[in-house]
Amino acid sequence: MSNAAAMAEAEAVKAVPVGGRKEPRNYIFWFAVVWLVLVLLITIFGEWLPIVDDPNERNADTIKKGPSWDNWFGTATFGQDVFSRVVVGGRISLRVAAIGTAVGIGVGGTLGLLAGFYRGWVDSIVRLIINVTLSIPALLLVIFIVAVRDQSLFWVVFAVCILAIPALARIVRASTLQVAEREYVKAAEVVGAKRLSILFREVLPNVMPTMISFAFLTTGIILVAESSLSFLGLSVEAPTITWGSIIAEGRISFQETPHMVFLPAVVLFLTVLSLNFIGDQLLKRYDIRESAL
Amino acid sequence: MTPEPAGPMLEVENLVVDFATPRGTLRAVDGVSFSLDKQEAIGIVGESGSGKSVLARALINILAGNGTRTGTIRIGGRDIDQLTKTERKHFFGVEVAMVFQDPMTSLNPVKRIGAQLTESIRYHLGASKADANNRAVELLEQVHIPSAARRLRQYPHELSGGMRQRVVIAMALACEPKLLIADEPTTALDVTVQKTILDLIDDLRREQHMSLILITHDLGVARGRADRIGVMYAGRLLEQAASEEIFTNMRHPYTEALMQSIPDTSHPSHTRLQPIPGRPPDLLSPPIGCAFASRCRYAQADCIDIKPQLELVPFDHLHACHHPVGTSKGDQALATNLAAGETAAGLVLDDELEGVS
Amino acid sequence: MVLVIILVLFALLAAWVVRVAGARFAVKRLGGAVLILVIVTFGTTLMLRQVPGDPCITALGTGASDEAVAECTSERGLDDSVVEQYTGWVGDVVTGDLGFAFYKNREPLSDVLEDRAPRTAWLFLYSQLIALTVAVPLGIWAAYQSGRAPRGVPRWILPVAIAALLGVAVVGGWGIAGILTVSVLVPIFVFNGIRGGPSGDSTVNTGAFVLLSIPVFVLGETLRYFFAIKNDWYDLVGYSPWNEGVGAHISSIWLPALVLGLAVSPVYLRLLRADMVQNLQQDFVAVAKAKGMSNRHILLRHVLRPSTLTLLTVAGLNIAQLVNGAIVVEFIFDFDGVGSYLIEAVARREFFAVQTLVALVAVLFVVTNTVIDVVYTTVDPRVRAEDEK
Repeated sequence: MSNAAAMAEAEAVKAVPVGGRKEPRNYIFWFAVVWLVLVLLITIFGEWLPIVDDPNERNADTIKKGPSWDNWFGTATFGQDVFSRVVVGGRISLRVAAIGTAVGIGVGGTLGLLAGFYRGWVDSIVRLIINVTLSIPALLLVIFIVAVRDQSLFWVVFAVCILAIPALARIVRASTLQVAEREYVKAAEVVGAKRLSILFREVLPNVMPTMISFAFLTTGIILVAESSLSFLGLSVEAPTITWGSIIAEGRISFQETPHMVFLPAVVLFLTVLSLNFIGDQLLKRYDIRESAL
Repeated sequence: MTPEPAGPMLEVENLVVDFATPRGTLRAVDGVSFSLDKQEAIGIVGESGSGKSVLARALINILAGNGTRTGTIRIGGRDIDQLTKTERKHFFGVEVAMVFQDPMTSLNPVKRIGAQLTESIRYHLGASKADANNRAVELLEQVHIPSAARRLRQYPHELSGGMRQRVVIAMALACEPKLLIADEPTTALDVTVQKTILDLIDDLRREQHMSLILITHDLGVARGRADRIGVMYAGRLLEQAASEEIFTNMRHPYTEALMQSIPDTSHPSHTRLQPIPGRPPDLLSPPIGCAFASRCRYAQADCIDIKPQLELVPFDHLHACHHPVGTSKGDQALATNLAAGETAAGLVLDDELEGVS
Repeated sequence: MVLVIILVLFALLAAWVVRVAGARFAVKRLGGAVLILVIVTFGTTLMLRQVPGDPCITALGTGASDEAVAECTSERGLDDSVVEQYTGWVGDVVTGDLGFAFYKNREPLSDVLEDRAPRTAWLFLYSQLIALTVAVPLGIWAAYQSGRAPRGVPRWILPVAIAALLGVAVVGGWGIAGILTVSVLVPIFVFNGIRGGPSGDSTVNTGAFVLLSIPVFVLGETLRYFFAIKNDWYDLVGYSPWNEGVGAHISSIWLPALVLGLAVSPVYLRLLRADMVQNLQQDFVAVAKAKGMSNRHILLRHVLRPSTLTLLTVAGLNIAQLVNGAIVVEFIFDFDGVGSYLIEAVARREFFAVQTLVALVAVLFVVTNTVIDVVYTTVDPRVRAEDEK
């Protein structure tokens, strides 16, 4: 059925001269990128922006007020400006997500690359690490680590790293296995190139797209995990603010402060959506199939 | 058994197939007309992308969702667009059946051979499970598969490529079709099994008095197995005649080019095969004139501007060319081009290659 | 008793696997699972030792007597080596002694589980059912539509959507309507508008993608706000078991199950759709069409069947998602299940209970996945063929 379509498609591709008509631009992708950049810029430079006040400044006149011109996202329990809290909270949430992903890529990526490339006992050990870590559901693992140690930023980041490492290691390992099977890698082997140079010159560049695509998806997952943790009151303790903790605070007196739940939630949702969308588009762009990994 | 009276099994009139693609409309089949008598075999020959597979799929009504078909197709005298809903239900797969290119992918990997063989028998003929199974064994024996009964319980991956293609053929024969379409039935197979499968198809069609459409990119495959041959290029049938007529008396430069690109054992062993220069036209924006003009050694100014229509010449021979091979017009065109060193379409003629032919 | 039944079932499974797929395969798969189980549970025990200070003091509170702390320390094996502590714990768990919580008169954990596990189990079951009822038909439909050319937006869609939003706004307030617009409709419309009008496929796919990106707690809070606070359609009174009547049971659980089901459904949906689209492009589908089989037959018999096996594997992996979601959902709805017990235990610093719970969940997860994996490999002829190579 779709076979003929695929065939027609292939014919069309063949028939179009090089440099011919292009695919229509993907606007959504750029919307997502712009949103992420905007969120990043505001959270990083928010302190120096006139729109952001002191997130902990109490104001007896504006307790639990809805959104207004002065307080875009309304005010919190003690009259603090919720928008400022979202900006400052975003700093923690996004930092945790960024560090988690970076460590995940660094450690998990290396492990996966080595396992997929050298196989043998390295692979067995890495696979065991992956399987053991993944056998505890993500949120439960993070809760367990934070509960056993304490609710400081360091341990939250640590827990999140433990979450990211096996997830990325698994993907990178699978991708490396696939790449290592390709002709040009075999060719390099036959020519007698050094193993290490094959790894860096042939395998790594071809694993990179997968790694980067999944980095976006992983950042989204970590962001959700951290927010869920703060929502449950188990992440970094007050007075440190995160997106999840604002939502958790808002839900206590839901009737009066629905804006404290929904507006940060929309920001979180759009950020996660953007991350997922960018990751998904990159996967499509590089024709990586999740099911094949 | 006495053969049925002759009459058209299949009539195709001005068949056009378009695909809506993100880049625009792609005309995969462009005004194809031909007819096929009962028990006759026609070979459709063309390079990949010439639209021959799309033609096959159009005939059995399995075009993709973005494909639209216009023109008339009459199978056994019945217009397939005029069938009632109930007629249509048991028409494709019963009156007409198809053998696909790649036996490795034509069989569902998670269903047993038996289930795949019997499903159409049970669906179309309403046979009981036991009857369908007996019929399936019979079919497998017909295509010379040893220990047929045991095969029914096997999965496709347990069979070799040749065996699988036999199963695919058996599947096509399940409801005793009167017209069989074989779409490059041996392309995906080992060279050693290709001939046996082709001969099997040939034998079966004679035994069961079927009409056959044999689609191939290899003129040699069609020779001797098809009564008539049609040459397809860029969605059009450029030449159509009886098999031997095509081989001895080809008219279209494309047919000639195809012949020259086939190795022939009668030639001296060092003869260079002549590739066809250039590549097929963009079907999204096809040329105004003859689709082959840009690659043709005979091309003149009129080839670029005017699309040649099919012409009937003696011995029931159809061709669409302004300057046919083997006629004074063709010779003259070639001589002009050789003298100029290039054709009207700007194709540089390589003297060295010319010298070989 | 339960343990005996589980062991017998396991032995039967192992015997079946050995018979169908051979002993080597069975040892490889089942042995690997046992190894992972040992390491995971050992790891959780090891984590107990990472509690800053003495876990017994922290758990009992600083006011606890020295004897109580000493008793706790020896009972938990904290004065032994890790290995002894671990073997002691395994021995206890296998004999059905899951330890106890310190508050509430040393309530045994097994009693807590007996009380609460069924609730979470029902929650899982219903949410899986909801997820599959949402995902399977939509997934099949999306896959079926995927081969078709994109069509223009139907003219009625916009007025209907606006009317629906107005309805929501009147019933639920403008806040929720605004949220819905921003979070669901705008992305879908922008996405489809730019892609040249939606096909059924891209609409379903976009919806799934958006749903996938909504954190469970956001979804849960939103639905709770709408159904339980703004309207009285769900009572936040807690769980009623089956024996209190079907109506009471369902009405006490439907909203948490819905939230959890919606949260996990896009995973199934996207997977089923992708798998079926891939299958639909296979030649055997064209062959079946050429045989004149009906669309229904092809879709259900040829395309769905290989995909259900994939769905089964994902169902196993999705248990992790379910556990994550259940913790959050039970917290949101004050649903007294295992998840909310876990949060309570963490808040009360009941390390031993938390460790046992985490280990049990890991065991459940590994066992389920191994069973699914083994069944899958044994049943699917393609995988078996790969394995034999």
